[in-house]
Amino acid sequence: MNRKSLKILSLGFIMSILLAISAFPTGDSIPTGITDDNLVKNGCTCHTDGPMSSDVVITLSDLPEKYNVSQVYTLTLNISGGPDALADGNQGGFFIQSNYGTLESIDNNTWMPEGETHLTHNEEGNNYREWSFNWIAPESDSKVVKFTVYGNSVNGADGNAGDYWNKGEFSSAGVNAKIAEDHGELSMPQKLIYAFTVLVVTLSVVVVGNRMVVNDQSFEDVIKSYWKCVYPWLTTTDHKYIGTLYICTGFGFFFVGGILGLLIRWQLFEPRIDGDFLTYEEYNSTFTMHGTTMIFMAAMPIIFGFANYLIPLQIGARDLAFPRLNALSYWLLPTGGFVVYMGYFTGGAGDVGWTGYTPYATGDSSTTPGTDFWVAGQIMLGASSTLTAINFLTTMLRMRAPGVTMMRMPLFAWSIFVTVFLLLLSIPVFTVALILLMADRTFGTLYFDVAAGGDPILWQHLFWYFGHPEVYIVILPAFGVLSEIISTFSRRPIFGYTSMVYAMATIGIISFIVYGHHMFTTGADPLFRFIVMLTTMLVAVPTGIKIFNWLATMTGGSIVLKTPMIFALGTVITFTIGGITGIILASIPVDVALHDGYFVVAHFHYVLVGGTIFAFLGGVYYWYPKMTGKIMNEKLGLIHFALSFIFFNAAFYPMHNVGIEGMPRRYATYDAQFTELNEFITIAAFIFGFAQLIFVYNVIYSYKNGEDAGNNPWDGWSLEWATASPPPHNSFTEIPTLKLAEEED
Amino acid sequence: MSDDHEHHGTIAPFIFCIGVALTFIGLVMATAGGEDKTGDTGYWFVFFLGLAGLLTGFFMWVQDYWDQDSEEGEDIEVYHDFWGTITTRKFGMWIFLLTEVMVFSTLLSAYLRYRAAVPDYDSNLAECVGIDPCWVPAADIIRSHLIFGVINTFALLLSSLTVVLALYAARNNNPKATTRYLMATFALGALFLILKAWEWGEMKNGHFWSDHCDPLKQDIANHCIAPKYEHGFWLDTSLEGTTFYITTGTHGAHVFIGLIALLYLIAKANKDGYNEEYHDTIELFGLYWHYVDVVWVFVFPFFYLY
Ligand code: HEM
Ligand SMILES: [Cu+2]
Repeated sequence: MNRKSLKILSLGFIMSILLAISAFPTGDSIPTGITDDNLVKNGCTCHTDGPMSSDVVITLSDLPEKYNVSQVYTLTLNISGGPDALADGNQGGFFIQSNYGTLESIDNNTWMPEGETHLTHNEEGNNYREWSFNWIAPESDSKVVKFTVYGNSVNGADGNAGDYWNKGEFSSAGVNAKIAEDHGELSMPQKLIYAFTVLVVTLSVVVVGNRMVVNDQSFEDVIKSYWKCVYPWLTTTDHKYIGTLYICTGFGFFFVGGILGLLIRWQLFEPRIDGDFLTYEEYNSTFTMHGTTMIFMAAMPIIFGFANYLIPLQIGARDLAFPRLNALSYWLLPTGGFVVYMGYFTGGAGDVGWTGYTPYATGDSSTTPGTDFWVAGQIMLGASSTLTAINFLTTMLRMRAPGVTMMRMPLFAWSIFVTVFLLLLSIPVFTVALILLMADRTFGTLYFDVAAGGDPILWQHLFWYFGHPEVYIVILPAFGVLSEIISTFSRRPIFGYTSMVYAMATIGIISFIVYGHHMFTTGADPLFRFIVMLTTMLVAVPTGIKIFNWLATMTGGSIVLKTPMIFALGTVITFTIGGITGIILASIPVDVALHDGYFVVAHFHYVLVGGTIFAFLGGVYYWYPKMTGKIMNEKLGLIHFALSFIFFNAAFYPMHNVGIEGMPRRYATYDAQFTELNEFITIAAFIFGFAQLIFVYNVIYSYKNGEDAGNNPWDGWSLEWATASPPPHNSFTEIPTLKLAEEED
Repeated sequence: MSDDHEHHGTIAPFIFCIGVALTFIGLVMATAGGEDKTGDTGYWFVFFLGLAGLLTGFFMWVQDYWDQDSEEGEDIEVYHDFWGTITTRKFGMWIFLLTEVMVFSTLLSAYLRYRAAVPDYDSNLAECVGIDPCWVPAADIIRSHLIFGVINTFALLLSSLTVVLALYAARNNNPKATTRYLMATFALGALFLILKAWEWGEMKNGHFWSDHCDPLKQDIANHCIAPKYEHGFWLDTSLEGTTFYITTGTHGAHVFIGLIALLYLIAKANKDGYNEEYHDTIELFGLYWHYVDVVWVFVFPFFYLY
C-alpha cells in the first residue's frame, strides 16, 4: 500500500468515526429487554396480526412512584376500550413484565409460565378485563423499574377479527435511583468536562475561521495545513516525539485530575448534606476519577515520557527496540483515557474508587455505565503499560552503546530498568483481574459473586499484588531523577552508586511480598499479616540507604542551587515524611485504627505528590533545556517551588491530624469537629493548585523567551548531554562510546 | 549510517487504538448503556465500527511487513553479549511470553484459590447435596467424552512439531515443504478450535441431572452429575463454569490469534518463500505457539482430569 492510499484510508476511517459520533444519540433502546420471543409467548399471540390500537387504554393502579426495598405491592391492571365483549365469552388478555423485582400470581386468573419472569392470564383470566397480582420490589433502592404491559381487548368471537390490543409502560423508582428527570441536571464534573469540550471546539473554530479570513485561505487549505502539522505527530515512531507526546498528555491529565481534586476539596470545605455541592454519588465518582487519572494517566505517562525521551539517549541507542510498538503504547493512553472518561457523557463516571473493590464494583450500587467504562479504559491502559515494559526491557538489555555496561548506566536508566521489571510482572495480573471483572459485569460470570461462592477478597489480592509494586513503579523513577539532579548540582558523582543500584533492586523484589499491608483489616491469616508487616518495614532499609546516599553526595559537594536542585531538595524532605508515615502504617495495630482514614490519604499524597510529582517537576526544569534548547526562567521557577512546597505541606500535613482523630476517607461529608482543619486544607489546596499555573506559564514563556541552553547547560555527565539540544533526528549521528575518565582514547 | 534506521512513520497504531476505544465504547453502551442501564442495542453499530477500525489498523500494520522481502529489517547491532546471539526481536518475544506467563498464572491461581477452598462434590457427598459451595469439577462433565480433549491435546502437541519442521524446512531452503508444514499447523490448530467449540456446546446444552438421579450418588455414566447442572453447564451456572470457560476460553483465544498469524505466514511463504536467510518470523511464531502449547499442558490436567 502506498502513502496516498494509506492517507485516503485513514481519512475515510476518521470520517466514519465522525459519522458514528453524530449517530450516537439515535441508538434506540429496547427498554425492558422484551423480545419478540416473549411476545410470541404472551397472551396476545393469536391476536398479533391485528393492529395496535389506541382505543385500548391500559392502566396499572396501586403502583407507587417510589418503592420501598423488598416490599410487596398488590397491583391491579385494567384495560378498557376496544370492542364490546359477548356476554359469556372471553373478554381480554394481558402480558406484564418488569425488569427488576419479581411478579407473583395471587389467584387463579393469572400465571407465570415456567422459567419465565412475566405474568399473563390463563383460561380463567380470559374472562376478565382486570387482574390483580403481587409485585415484590427489588432489594436495591437505586433501580428504576419499568413495567411493560400488553393488553388485549377481545370480543369473544372465534378468530381475531375485531380484537384490539395495545402496549403500556409504567415505572417506579427506588428512593436512591437516578430518575430520567435527573438526567437534565448536570453534575459539577460533567459541567466542567462539557465546558472544556465546548471550549476546545469553539477555540478550534475560531482559530480556523481566523486563519481563513486573515490569510484568505479556503477551509480546505487551512485544514490541510493543520493536517500537515498534526500528521507527523499521529504517525511518529521517534522516541523523542513519543516522549514529548507522553509528557504533554501526562501533564494534561494531571491538570484535569487536579481540577477533580479541587472539587473534592471544595466538597469537604465544610460538612455537607447530599447535593449541597456534589451529591454523594457524584462525590464517589469524583474521587474515583481523581485517583485513577493521577496514577494511571498522569504519573505513569509522565514517567514513560521521560523514559522515552531519555533512555535511548542515556544508553546511546538510536531509538527503542520496537518503535512502532512504542507508538501503539502511546496511542492506547489517550484513547484509553477517553474511554475511562466516557462515563461523564453517559450519566456518571465510574464510582468504585481507584481500587475498584468488589463486591462494590460488581454490585448493584454501581449501575451507571461509567464503571464499565472505567474497567474498559483501564484494560487499555494496562495493555499500554505492558507493551511499554517489554519494549524498554528489550532496549536496555540489548541496545546499550559500546562501553555502556549495566553498571555504568546512569541511575535514572537503572530506575527505569527496575520499574519496567516490576511492570512486567505486575500489570498483566491487574489487566487480567479487570478482564474478569468485566466478564462478571457484562457476561454474567461469577468470579467475585458472593452468592455463588465467589470471594470478593480475591479481587483485593489480585489488585494489591499489582497495586503495591505499582506505587514503586511510580516512585523508583523519581528516585532516578533525584539521583541525576543531586549528583549534577553537587558537582560530584553520586555517592555509593553500587549501593543505589542494589537498593533499587531490593525495593523492587520486596515490593512483591508486602502487598498484604493494604489488607490488614480483611481478616487475613495472622501469619500472613505478620510476615507482611515485617517485610513492609524492611523496605525502609533500602529506602533509607538511598536517602543517606543523597545526603552524602551533597555533603562533600559544592552545591549549585538552581531550580531543579531546589525541587530535588524539597522532594527529599517531603518524600521522607511520606516514607516515615508508611512505616507507621505498616504496624498492624496502628493500621487497624488508621486504615481507610485521612492518615492514609496524607501518607500517599506525601509520597506521590511530594515524591513523584515534585521530582518530575524538577525533572522538567532539568531536562527542558535538552528537549527545547532553552533554559526555563529561574525566577518563575523559584516562585513555583516556594508556593508549591509551602502549600503542599499546608494542605496535606493537617490530614495526618484529622486522620488520627478519626476522619474516614471516601466520605462526602464529615463530623463537624473537623471543620476548621478541613477549611484550612481546602484553602491551601486551592493555592497549591493555582501555583501550578505559574509552571504552565513558565513552560510556554521560556519556549520563546528562554536563554539558549547549549548542549550541556548544567555540566551533566550522562550521555544525553553529549548530543545537541534538542537532539537530532536519529538522536546520535554516530553511536557514541562510553569511556571512563582514566581510559585512553 | 544515519539513514538505515530511518523512522518510517505509520498511522496504523493510531487507527488501531481508535478502533479499540470504539469497540469498548460500543460494547459498554450496548450492554450497560441506555436509560435504565440494561443496554442500548443501537450501539452494537459502534462496536462493529470499532472492530472495523481495529482491523484496518492491524492490516495497515501488517502491510508494511508484507511489502518487504523479509520481516526482519536490519537488526540492531548488539555491543553487549547478553543471551548470546539471538536477535532483538526474538528477545522481545521472550519477554512478551513472560508477561503471558503472568496472564495464565493469574487465571490458574484464581481457579486454585476456589478449588482449594471448596470440598469436592464426590468426596463429601452427603454433606453437600444440592448445596452450592461444593465443587463439581468440569472434569466430571467432560469425562464421558474426554476423547475430544485427548485428541485436542495431541493435535496441539503435534502442531508444535510441525512448526519446528516448517522452520527446519525453511532453513534448508525448501519453500514447498515450509508451506506444507505451516498449513499442517494451521489445520491442527483449527481442529483444536472446532473440537473445543463442539465440546463447549455439548456442555452448555447438556442436562446433567434428572429426576431419576439418586441425590446421594454421583453417577457420571448416567449423567447424574449435580442438580445445579440440570439445565447445562455454562459460564454463569456456577464458579466451576466461570473458571472453566474463562480459562479455557483465554487459551482458545490465544490459539485463535495464533491461527491468524499462521494465515499471514502461509500467505507470505507462498509469495516470497522463507529461506535460509529469512526465517526469523517462523521461529518467533514457533516460540509463541510452543508457549500456547505449554499452557494447554497445564490447563488440560487442571480442568479435564482433576
Ligand atoms: C517507605 C515505604 C512505604 C511504606 C512502608 C508504605 C506503607 C503503606 C501502608 C501500610 C499502606 C496501607 C495503609 C492503609 O490502607 O491502611 C500504604 C498505603 C498507600 N501507599 Fe504506601 N508505603 C510506602 C511507600 C509508598 C510509596 C513510595 C508510594 C507511592 C509513590 C505509596 C503509595 C501508597 C498509596 C497510594 C496507598 C493507598 C492505597 C489506597 O488504599 O488507596 N506508598 N502504604
Ligand atoms: Cu503498599
